[in-house]
Amino acid sequence: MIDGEKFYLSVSQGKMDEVRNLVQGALDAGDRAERVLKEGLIQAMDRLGVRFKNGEIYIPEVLLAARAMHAGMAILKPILSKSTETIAGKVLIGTVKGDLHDIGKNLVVMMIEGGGFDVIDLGIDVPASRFVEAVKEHRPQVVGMSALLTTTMVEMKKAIQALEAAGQKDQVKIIIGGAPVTERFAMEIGADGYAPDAAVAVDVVRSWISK
Amino acid sequence: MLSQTEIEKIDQAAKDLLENPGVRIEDEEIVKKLLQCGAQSGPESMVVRFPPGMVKEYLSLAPQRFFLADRRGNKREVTSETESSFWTGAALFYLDQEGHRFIHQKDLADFSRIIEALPNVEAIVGTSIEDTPPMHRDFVGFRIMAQNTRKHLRPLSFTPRGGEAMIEMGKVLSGEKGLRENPIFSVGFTAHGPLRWTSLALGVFKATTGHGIPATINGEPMAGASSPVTLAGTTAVGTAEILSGIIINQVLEPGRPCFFNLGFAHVMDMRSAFPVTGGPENALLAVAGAELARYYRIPSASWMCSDSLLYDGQNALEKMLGALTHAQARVSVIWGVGSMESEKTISPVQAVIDHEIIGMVKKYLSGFRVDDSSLALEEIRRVGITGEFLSSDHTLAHFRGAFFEPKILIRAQRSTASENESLIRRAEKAVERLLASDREPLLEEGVERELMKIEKKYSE
Ligand code: B12
Repeated sequence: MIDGEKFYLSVSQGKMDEVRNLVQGALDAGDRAERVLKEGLIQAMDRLGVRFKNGEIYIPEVLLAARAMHAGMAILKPILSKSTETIAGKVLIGTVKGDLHDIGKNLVVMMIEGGGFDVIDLGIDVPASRFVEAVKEHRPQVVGMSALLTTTMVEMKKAIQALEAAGQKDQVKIIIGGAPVTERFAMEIGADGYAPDAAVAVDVVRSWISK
Repeated sequence: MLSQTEIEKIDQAAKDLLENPGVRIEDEEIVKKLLQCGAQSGPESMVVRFPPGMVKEYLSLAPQRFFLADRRGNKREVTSETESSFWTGAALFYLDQEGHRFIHQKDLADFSRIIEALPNVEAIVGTSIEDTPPMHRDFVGFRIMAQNTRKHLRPLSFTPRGGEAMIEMGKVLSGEKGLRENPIFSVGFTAHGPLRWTSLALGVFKATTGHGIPATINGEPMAGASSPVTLAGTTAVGTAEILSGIIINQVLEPGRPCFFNLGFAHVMDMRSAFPVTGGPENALLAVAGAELARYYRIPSASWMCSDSLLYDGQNALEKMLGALTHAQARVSVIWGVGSMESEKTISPVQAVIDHEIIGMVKKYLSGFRVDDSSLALEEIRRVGITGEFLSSDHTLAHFRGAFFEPKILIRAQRSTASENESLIRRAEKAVERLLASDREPLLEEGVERELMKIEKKYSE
């Protein structure tokens, strides 16, 4: 039996060992890995997500919990990848070419990871061609792009065009964000979505991947 | 604000960081030069460690005093002790009566004209301009600013090539005396914290070196994100970044005028991840920056900003806190006239309000004179008990310029003034008035033609 409350307490307090024990205990008791993930870890992060949105807890506390959750995930991942069961989903993300801002992007990465997704972070200054290669290599469901400069926003369009030219655009959903970016700009350049902050980014990614 | 011991502690912490772990310098040529000048290579490639002896030697080359010029013939001395000079701020969005939008060339031209008309603002800072190819925005913006104001120009640099274009333009604008004698513009760049100078920043330093052009060396830590959440730790990281930037510039051009700029530092709101710019912590960081700069005897800089999305009460009150605290600490150059939304937006309407705030702050900081003439004992006796001063000769002789005279604040009886008109509306009207007035050309024809030629050359 998965004790959601126990998972919640251990995850929210960032107790990695406790989380590992809970995960292992559930597996040993015969629970399926996918159930442990959803009803144990993700359920805990979701509850924290609500408290975060209500302003009851702060970002560093969410990140602490995310770390603990990942300690548990590490046990589940090898099992999940062998079975037909899947982990929640994979997101590829990077700051576009010419742009070195990464504080916001890093936060988005951490929060999406906290949502139970696998994130491949391409870092900063990522050219269009690198996005294409990485999509082919990692097969993510979602590609995220960040730009903080009006001079580098155009690179998002280039990357989307490159994905299209390589026949990869339909394989993924594209979400963009960063200081100069707007919903309208996202639509203009053919992205599928936009998020003004990391919390909304997680919601959007989840709405896409759980469909 | 900080005691001498505290300043020395921060200085020591920064110097410790410069030695261990050192700073990542992403330019091979500069790394080589630094190593020749006494730096040591760190364990990772491009990481450079600065021994205390080298820090001391190269910091002492940074001038304690230099000048900033404008095209009205003013030359302003800057030291770590001089009175603050107020400038505008960089941005990508524009907000006025017509709404919020990306800045276009016309907006930058209008904004420059407004700044030309505001005496308390001494320089204009470049912005993004949406209707211009991205790689040309820095030098095209520079030309637009030069056409519309004669004040000191502080363009943004987006590429080293843009830096070269602006030096060519600057030489034309500075006239016969040349840039060194007549620095009508200055440049700057920011460390990519923690403890890292990118090839772009270093490229801009290199491209603008050798002409005596003043450079603002920015450490821009964000407490809780790119530096410790504690302001002391943030100050130490920022100081290490700035000192390494100043040393690099002194190695490239001994004697290059530099600003020690810790006053762009932010704190991250831990609920929203918003980069806070108008909070009391920003004031603390800017004041600490000015005090550290004074300790090093190098002029300083800062940014007074607001996190408001509008020109409104929040904006004005955050600006008042910033302007007053930064200026009281004698930050040499304070950016932020017209700035809002965590540096993302500028507004001409807010610029007019900020101009008023600066006027009040300047008046307050100028204090008042205490001497025989101002004590006016003779006059008090002459007027006598129960007399009045309004009609006295002493009043007549001294009243002009005695009190702050607001331009847009209201000081009227309820029934006589348009009582429903807010400060915002009065500021909007001032902007409308300023923009409606005739625009005299501010560049000689020949100079303008030269600028256009350079712009064309670099646009190809
Ligand atoms: C911190 C900062 C820096 C730091 C960056 C450190 C780092 N490691 O990232 C430093 C000091 C190095 C820096 C450098 C520069 N910067 Co800067 N910087 C900022 C600042 C103040 C805050 C950005 C930030 O970190 N915010 C905090 C994070 C948490 O918020 P965020 O990035 O917006 O991210 C959130 C959302 O946007 C969204 N999001 C972000 N990415 C993504 C991606 C996806 C997929 C999704 C869904 C959502 C999403 O979620 C995030 C979390 O909630 C902004 C001003 C501002 N208020 O935005 C200027 C700003 C962006 N910078 C600016 C400039 C000009 C520069 C420089 C060119 C300055 C210079 N000449 O020295 C260099 C450029 C270097 C380069 N080539 O990239 C300008 C841009 C103007 C323009 N023309 O476009 C700004 C607006 C400031 C200004 N007014 O001048 N900068």
